[in-house]
Amino acid sequence: MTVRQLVRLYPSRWRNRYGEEFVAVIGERHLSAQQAIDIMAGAVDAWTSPSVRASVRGSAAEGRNGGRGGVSMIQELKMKCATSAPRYTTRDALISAGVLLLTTVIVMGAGILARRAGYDELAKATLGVAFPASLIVSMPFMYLKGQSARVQAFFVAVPLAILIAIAYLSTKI
Amino acid sequence: MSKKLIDSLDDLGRFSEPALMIMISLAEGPKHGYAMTQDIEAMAGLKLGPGTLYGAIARLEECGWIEPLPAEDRRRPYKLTNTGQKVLRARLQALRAVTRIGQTRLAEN
Repeated sequence: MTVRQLVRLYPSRWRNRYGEEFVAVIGERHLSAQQAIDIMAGAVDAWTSPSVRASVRGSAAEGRNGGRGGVSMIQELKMKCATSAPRYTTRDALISAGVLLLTTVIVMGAGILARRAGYDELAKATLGVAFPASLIVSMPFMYLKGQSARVQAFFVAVPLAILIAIAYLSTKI
Repeated sequence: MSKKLIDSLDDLGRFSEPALMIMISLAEGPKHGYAMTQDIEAMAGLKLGPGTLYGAIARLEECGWIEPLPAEDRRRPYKLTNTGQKVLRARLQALRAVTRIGQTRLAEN
């Protein structure tokens, strides 16, 4: 596998910004397994890391605005790093906690209604997943803040689907 | 020296060490990626993979601690910014203090 093939794993914005120099650093020589793994891990990081995406976005904005328009954004990002601030604010944490509580209450309410309607197994499964499901739903407001909508949707939908599948199976055992 | 500046490199998580190495390498003057990897390997025996190198470069750029210069051929050199120099100086001072304590404790035993 060549470096050019592996670079295709990176987001297009990243490739536009770093692609050519990245290839130039490695050259066209054959890659070692260790280098290939490092490049693949770098691709995962480029897709998921808010700071890498922000860096690429900042560079793109600077380029579009003739190298000056992106200055305010870059300054803002400089402040964020220099103050070693977390990626989310207290307000985000409160919103996330609110979503977590509200979702837990709603799911538990659904479980109680299911029990009253005579669906004991469904009620047990629903009550069992109430907290983990709520935690997953609250992630975009804090832990996944700054990620793209696609990444957020993936990290919410997939664990939720797994959780629902487990809950469903538990009613069948 | 501000504790925030000293700690700020730690915000880069697993990229803290590669980022520190890159900043030390750039303290000598602007370099492109390949020159950085060669310098870091010669200086610290650390062979940075390309994915790790550019993960750290992107983070350092985002923080405003390094900045790109116009590309030469396909290679783009980077230089340490004034903020980057402050962060590096703070981190090296902190490391020097820790090293001194460690050496003193070893000497006592």
